[in-house]
Amino acid sequence: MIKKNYHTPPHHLLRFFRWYCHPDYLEDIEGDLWERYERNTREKGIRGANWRFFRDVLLLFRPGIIRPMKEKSQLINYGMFRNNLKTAFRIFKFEKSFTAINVIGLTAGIWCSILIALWVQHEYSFDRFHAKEDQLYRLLKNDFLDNNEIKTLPWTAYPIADVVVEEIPGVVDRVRCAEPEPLVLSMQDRFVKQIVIAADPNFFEVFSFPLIEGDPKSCLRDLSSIVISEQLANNHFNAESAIGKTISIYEGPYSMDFKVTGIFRKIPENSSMQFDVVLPVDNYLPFMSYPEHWGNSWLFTYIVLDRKANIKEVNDQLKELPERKVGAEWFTLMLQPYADQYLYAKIENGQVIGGRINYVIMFAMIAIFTLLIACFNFVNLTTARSARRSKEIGIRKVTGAGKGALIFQFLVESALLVGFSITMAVLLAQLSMPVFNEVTGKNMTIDFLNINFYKLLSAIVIVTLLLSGIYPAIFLASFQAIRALKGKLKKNTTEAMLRRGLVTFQFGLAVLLIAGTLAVFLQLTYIQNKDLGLDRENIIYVPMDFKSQPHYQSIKTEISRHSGIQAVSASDGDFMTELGTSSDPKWKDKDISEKHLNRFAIMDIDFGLLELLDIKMSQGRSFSPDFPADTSNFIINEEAAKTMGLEHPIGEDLEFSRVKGKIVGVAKNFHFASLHEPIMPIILRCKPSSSALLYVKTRPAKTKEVLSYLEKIHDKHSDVPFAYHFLDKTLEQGYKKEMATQKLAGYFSILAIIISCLGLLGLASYSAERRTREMAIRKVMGAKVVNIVNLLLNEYLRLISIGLLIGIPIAYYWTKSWLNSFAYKVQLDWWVYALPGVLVFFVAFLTVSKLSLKTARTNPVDSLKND
Amino acid sequence: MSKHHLGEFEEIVMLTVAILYEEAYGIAIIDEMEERLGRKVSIGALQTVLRRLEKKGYLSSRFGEATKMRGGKRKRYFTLTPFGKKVLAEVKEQRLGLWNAIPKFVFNE
Repeated sequence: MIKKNYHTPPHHLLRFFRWYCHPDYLEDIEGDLWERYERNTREKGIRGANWRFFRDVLLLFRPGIIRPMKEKSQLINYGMFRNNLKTAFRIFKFEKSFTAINVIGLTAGIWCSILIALWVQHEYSFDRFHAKEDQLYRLLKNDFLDNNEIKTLPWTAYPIADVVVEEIPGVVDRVRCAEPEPLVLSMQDRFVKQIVIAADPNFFEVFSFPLIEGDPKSCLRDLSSIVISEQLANNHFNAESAIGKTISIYEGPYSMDFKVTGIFRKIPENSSMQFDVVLPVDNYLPFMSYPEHWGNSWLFTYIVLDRKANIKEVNDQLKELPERKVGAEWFTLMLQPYADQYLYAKIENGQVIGGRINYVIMFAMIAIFTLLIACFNFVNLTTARSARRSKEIGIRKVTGAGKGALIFQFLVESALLVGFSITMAVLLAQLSMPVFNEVTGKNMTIDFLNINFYKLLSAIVIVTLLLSGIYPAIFLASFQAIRALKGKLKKNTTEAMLRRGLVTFQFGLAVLLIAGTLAVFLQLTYIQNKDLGLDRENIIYVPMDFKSQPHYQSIKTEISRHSGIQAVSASDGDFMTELGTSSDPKWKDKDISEKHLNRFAIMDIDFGLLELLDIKMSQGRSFSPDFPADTSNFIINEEAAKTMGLEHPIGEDLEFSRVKGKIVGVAKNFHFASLHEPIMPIILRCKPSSSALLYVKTRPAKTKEVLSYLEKIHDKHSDVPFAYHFLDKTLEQGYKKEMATQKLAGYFSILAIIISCLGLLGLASYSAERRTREMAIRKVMGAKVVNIVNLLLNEYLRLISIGLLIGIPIAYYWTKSWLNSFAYKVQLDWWVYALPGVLVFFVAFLTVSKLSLKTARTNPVDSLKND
Repeated sequence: MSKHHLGEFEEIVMLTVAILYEEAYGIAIIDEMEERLGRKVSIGALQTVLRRLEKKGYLSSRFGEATKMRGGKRKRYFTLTPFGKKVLAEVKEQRLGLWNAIPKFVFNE
């Protein structure tokens, strides 16, 4: 009898049975199995018993006995999830204002994040589409100036590129390109102005501008070959292939014939290089004086490095190359990644110090701030309203909800709000895209098929959910059941601190954004209204073409006859864009060691241009037809006089381009390029025949009349289409990007402050509501409306004041460093920082005081009678 | 057809449970059926039916005390519920009705 106790059923079978058996049936059926086994061992022996046990266990493996598949987790969670959804929607319905504030805030925050993210993405995509993008560099030249400064320019001389390829290991290839310039082309007897770029024959091999027709290897090999854009080919050669057709290019009095050897596809918008026509750069050589000279910088040089090359080593060798090869110790060379030229264009003292990247960072910050403010609203409102939900949480806990289940529930609520907001935000973004494009000057679309867009969206959702959902969920779920049910929530000081901290932070950010926007706005107004040293009102300028140029004098006389015209003059070269520069001019005490190379901008002008532009003379006189010798005389600006070191420049000799003359006048400094750049020394030559640009000053309100008259005269002399520009508009163009920035920053900071105030409104209305009884009792005890309003106001205004105190110094630091990128900057007064503070304070005050007043005015009977 | 349909095996199991009264647990039922009907029943077959009947509300069950036997597992005793009794009585009525409807000469031949 004792023996049988040592026999137990086969262990693995028992385990198998326990694994599959429904837990509710397990105990008694297992007992039955045991009992039978025990009996069988007695009656049939161990083997027989084992066999029968095996059969029984197998036969028990049937639907009625087997535990349901994962029945527990699946069924219950689904049920709970449904319940969570139901509760969430009830809460949304019940707390309409709370839901609305959160949805509006989050939608606005996400909306502006989406727009800015798209913009940033577009900025980053610039110049990155080339297949050899990771190997492409541009060659920069560092000139050492007299004052120990280094000026970095992208132009280098013709021979340098080939020497770099030969001498420096790791350099595989190079392309030289002349600066793109608009030239007049004639084809099929029609004239058009197109952007022409002259480049080395391997241009299309190095850059990924795909050809529709033609061979990228050979299309530019022949000197008379030309490659044109798809659009040009379609517009002028109808259905026929453009290949083999002749195109003539006119530059001043010269013209040259080319044969079309290729057609390239439309240049992507995110390419820094934009052009319509490419021709071999060697065509320009005969027009250059001393092209073999290393100091004659006129070409962009792009370098292709080997993938294995060490950029640092290459740069080290480039640095000493000019000295080693031609003994030039006044300049060095360096490389910048090709794709960086767009965002990191600003180089000072040989160091890359930024550029558009500053705007990109600024906007990324704005997006993050706005989203943060919206998330903080969410956190604040949810935790502040926790008292309202304490009973629900208590009941849930009592009936067995774990912390995890509660966290999940609140996360479901947040996820619903965030999900709804993001849908709205995407819709809004799609709707507002045209306006956004207009402001930014880009042509962006939301690509709903692009996986990157969804990556971006999910990143925003996750960040928003983490920031806004996690903390309130954990906070609410950690209530103690009994306290929550009694409605006696412990005054949680850390939580109140956090809420105060977030409100403070929000308003700090809002002030930062407004002050920043104000600074940008002031700087740009300053630029637009700054005395440029010249008059730009009512001035039209007309680019002349090769057909009208020879008739300049007669055109001038004809135009002058019109009563709406005050003055007519002309110049060679467009001073709104880059002027040609040279270091050739020789004056009395010029230090001719090449180290002291100073570059002067050179401009040829007709009589009367200075008067027309109202450029004042500080010494001497302007050019005049009364002095026939003036055609070999010079006028310089004050900056040039300083550069030359001449205290009394009038009457000094000056020699340039084999012309010896005298300086007859010094013009006051005037701005001719972007205000980002300091004024350059300029030398003006008197060439009455120069006529690339015709300037016409009109009498006010006669512009329209004059324009049609100008066109009539132009058409008489030339069949090239008439074109004209307004000087003030052109000058504004130079600041277009800043204007766009200004507008955008303005809109977004308004958005930020609206979201902040929304949050404050929610928070204040909640606290007012929570304290209605307290206020009622205070009133009964004799408190006046003023006291009560004060009480409620104080709570928030103190926080906002602290926020302002923190935000303003940061705003001060930021705006200062932004302004440093301008050569001429506005002086920011104290009110730039005070005004946003007052503004934010005032708006917040209005928001809270309206509510407080309502609470304070309520009849105490109404709020107390329910107790 | 009655709305309470009982299968043949179900009926036998319920009857056996009724016979055993307070002592109807898995093995006892099997033994009883084997003894009275000479029928081999596997634990699996029996348990499935027992649970089904319990779910239909014909049987109820309770746990007994744990003993040293049976690997220390408790027995689950099944009893008829009033509803189960009613259903069994109904079945019996139907059977009797059928028997009574048979003409006397059929068995007397």
